[in-house]
Amino acid sequence: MDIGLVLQNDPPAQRVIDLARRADAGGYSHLWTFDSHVLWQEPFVIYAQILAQTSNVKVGPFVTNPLTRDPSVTASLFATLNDQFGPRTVCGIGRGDSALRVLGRKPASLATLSHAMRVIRDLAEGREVTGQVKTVLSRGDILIEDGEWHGSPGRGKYLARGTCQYLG
Amino acid sequence: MDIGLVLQNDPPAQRVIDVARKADAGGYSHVWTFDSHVLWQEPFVIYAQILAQTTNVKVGPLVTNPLTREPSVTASLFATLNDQFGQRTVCGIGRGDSALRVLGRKPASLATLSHAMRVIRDLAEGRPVDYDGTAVRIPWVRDGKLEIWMAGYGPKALKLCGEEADGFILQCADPDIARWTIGTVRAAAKAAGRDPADVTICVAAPAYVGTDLAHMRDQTRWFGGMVGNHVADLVNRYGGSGETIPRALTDYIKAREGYDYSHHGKAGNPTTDFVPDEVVDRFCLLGPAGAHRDRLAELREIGADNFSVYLMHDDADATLDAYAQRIIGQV
Repeated sequence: MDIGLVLQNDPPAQRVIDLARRADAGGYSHLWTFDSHVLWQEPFVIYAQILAQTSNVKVGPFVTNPLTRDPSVTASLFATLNDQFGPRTVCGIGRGDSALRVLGRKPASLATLSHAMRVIRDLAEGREVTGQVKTVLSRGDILIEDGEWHGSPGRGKYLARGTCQYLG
Repeated sequence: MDIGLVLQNDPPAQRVIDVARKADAGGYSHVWTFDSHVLWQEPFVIYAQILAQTTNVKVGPLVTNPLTREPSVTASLFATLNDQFGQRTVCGIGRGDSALRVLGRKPASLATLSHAMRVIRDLAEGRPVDYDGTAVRIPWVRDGKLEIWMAGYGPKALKLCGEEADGFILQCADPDIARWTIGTVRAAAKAAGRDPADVTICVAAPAYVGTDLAHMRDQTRWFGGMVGNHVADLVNRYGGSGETIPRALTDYIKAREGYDYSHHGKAGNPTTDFVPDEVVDRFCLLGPAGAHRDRLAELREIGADNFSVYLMHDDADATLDAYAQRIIGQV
């Protein structure tokens, strides 16, 4: 049975890196950290250093979420680390909890999570994703299909956006 | 005058780290990379390794954007690196170009950019930020300091830069354009009650130290095409009559037909053939070291504090060394 270790990215980062080196030497299979970038430090810049200073342990977030980074950025982070250090990362992901809640946001929907998982895996493994929306439905009516607008004026409701428009 | 280096995160990452180590040893002040995570590798995990293996050089993106990462993530990235390695990062940021366009998105509005710059700086320096009613603060930041240098070309972007940014990044070494853009930034800073000298001026452009002018032009022509993406937006918005935007910046764009991002920032980009020699000569620094020193002296006179070398051509190592030996410390 593989035994992993879960850490928090409390400063100083060097302490996390040192623990990871001990875990690697001690036979642990995985070294995970929280990914909650406000409460703790940003994990990926620490993973880069852990990977550079260990030889076996796999690293990854426990867990990341679909919203705080564009999924293509998450894919590129993993792909960059794997390209340099071999396939030594795992993408732990969920709907998001503290990383979003400290910003006053809610966890992502399962649909968003499903989409993000596919985008992250496909891009990180070198496949093409289109990300194009094919059909837009509203209350049972088709509004957009095959790139054509099929709705009528007055449908739907205008939703004002807050100043923080980054999160989906 | 500080001299920086601009790299692309082409794999292998170790090569980028090795060039950064050479730059650090050679007296360069900054190592920048593009931040376009689909076209190239993700920069921040490479910055962590550069900082771990160098002692003086500052690192950062040239440039990041407000949209591909939530701005609090961007702030946390810089704060994490600064906490571990000292204040050795600079946040270069703009509206976003290739990082967004390859996803089928448009650059961010200046309002979004302004908001993101404030969120990133405040969070990275440990101050609270209001997130639509939720107070957010990074609790582990100690003595945080992060400079935000903004890139832009248009009148409104330059105004925002002068009002709010710690530095101005001009991606183009044309003295006429430098005079107009730096003047606009400084005037906006003054009008906002700031000391215009507080805005650090960074001019970034390809530099090629050599003697075969025709070859050096072909190797750096792509840059006029890259700048052309931004200039085309400006011409669409303000017109090309020369009233708002200087003719030096707009005339060459008339021959432009589309742009292929798969060749972005690469020597030999076929969609940049429209860029005439005269524009290459004005936008880039080409020639023997003396010609570089002369142009840098002119740019310094205009107000540049930093010149950063885009090192994407077929004689990169020699240019890196020539700057270290014959230009850094002499301009």
